[in-house]
Amino acid sequence: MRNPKQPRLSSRIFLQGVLLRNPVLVQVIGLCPAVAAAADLYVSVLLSVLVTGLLIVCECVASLLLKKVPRRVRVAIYFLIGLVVCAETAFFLEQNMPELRERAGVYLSLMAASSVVALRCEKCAVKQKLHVSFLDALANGIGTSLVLLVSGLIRGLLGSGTIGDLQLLSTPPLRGLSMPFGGFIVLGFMAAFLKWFSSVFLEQEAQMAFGIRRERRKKPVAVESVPAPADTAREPGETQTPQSDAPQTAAPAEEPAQTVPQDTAESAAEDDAAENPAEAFYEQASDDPDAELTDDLFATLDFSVEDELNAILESIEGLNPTEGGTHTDA
Amino acid sequence: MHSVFSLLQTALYMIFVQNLVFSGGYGASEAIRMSAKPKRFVPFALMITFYSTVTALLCRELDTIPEINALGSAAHILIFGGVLALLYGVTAALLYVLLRPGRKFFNLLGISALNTMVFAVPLINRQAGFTLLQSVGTGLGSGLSFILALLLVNIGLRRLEKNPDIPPLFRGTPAMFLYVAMLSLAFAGLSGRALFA
Repeated sequence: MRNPKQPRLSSRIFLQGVLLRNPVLVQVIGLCPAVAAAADLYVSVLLSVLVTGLLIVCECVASLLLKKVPRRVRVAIYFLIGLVVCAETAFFLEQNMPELRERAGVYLSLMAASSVVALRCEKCAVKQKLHVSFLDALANGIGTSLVLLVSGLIRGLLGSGTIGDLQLLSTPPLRGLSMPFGGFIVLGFMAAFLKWFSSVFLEQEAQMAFGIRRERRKKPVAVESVPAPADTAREPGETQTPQSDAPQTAAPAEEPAQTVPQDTAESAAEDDAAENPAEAFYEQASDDPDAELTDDLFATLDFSVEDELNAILESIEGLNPTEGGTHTDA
Repeated sequence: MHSVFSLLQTALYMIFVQNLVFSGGYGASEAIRMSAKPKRFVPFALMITFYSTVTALLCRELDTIPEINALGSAAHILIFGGVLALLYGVTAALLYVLLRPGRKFFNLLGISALNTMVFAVPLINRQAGFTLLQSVGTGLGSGLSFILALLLVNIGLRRLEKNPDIPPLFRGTPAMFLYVAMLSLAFAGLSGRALFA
């Protein structure tokens, strides 16, 4: 039975795709057009339409036809579908809107290899029915589009004083904002804003979406303590224990559900999981170790590059670079 | 000798001056996500270098055919993308037959072959009108610049993770974006373009 406090599946898909698990700001995918091309509102609109259309086409095809195809073949099929869509779009623009085609540059072509498409198809479409895949594509398309449009608006306004072709500001333009580093800065502030917005206005939904995972992740390091809130933010001064120091922290994501404290959100999720495979998927999606959340990207840091290089040196030459005291990571 | 210098010069230019990840945002998602998984650095870096170099070489050779060179950009998207997809298909089939690697290996192979950075290389070469050796240099340099990006982002992520002074709202992805922005700004400075005129 579905928990009455929990939103409907379609609402949850949209909430996750647009806000809580926004592809660009939370999952860190589809950055190339967001940082480089979305410096102009017209290009942003073009890429938004393209990425949403591409997501819908690819996810529907994957959901209908590619479930039995091996993954190594599927990723090439997504790319080929993307190529056809992008080439068609480029051809149409060359004939009808050559100026916009010029502005979009190579980034229009690169949408064929967009990581948003491949990742959503693999995470959702090949595991779900058509209608769920369609909703997922639409939600993630809207989520990506929102980032592209807001970024295009801000960078266009501050970078050149214009919105589209309309001159609005007469102050000296910050031309740097039109460059990729400007895109990263705008994305950084947008990600912080989304974090604040989610924690203030969507606290309950965020808990529903991520509660299980947080409990599981936190359990081995604080078994005796009171379970921490599901919010992704840590307290100031609190640092995460490096996993090389505490290897047991990597295991909990794989642990069976019955070992986890049974709070309300989780019980509701398990009830739904038993009844509806799509509901179950959207619960599992937040428990996927490859689905990088804000802090989860950091949680996957098993060891540093220095450790890796030291291990290689040791294995090749029998050297121990840590002896000189220069090595600081455990 | 001149041709070797031309190749090396282009490669170095791509690594340090026009680093595709920081100066163009190409493959930025893969660089950031992969930088959190140093265990996969070496195979991923080798694969991406291989694909960017060989794709650049093949596409440049194809573009010397007058009939193909005369085609518009839409056709070039299809041709260059087709070459990349074919290259991925051939290498994946060969590896499957010869080495029988596991599923994880193929996942990595797919990400390294079919991403915005590898696909951008032949398109940039065509736009810039590079010669064959310069194209190979671009491919090689792009792969190596990706390794540099992985290292720099990984080191940054480690330090950000340990820094207690970051406000809670900016912890995680926002801080990481701002850190990558600083790296991108540094590379933009190397390019010699006016940033705030």
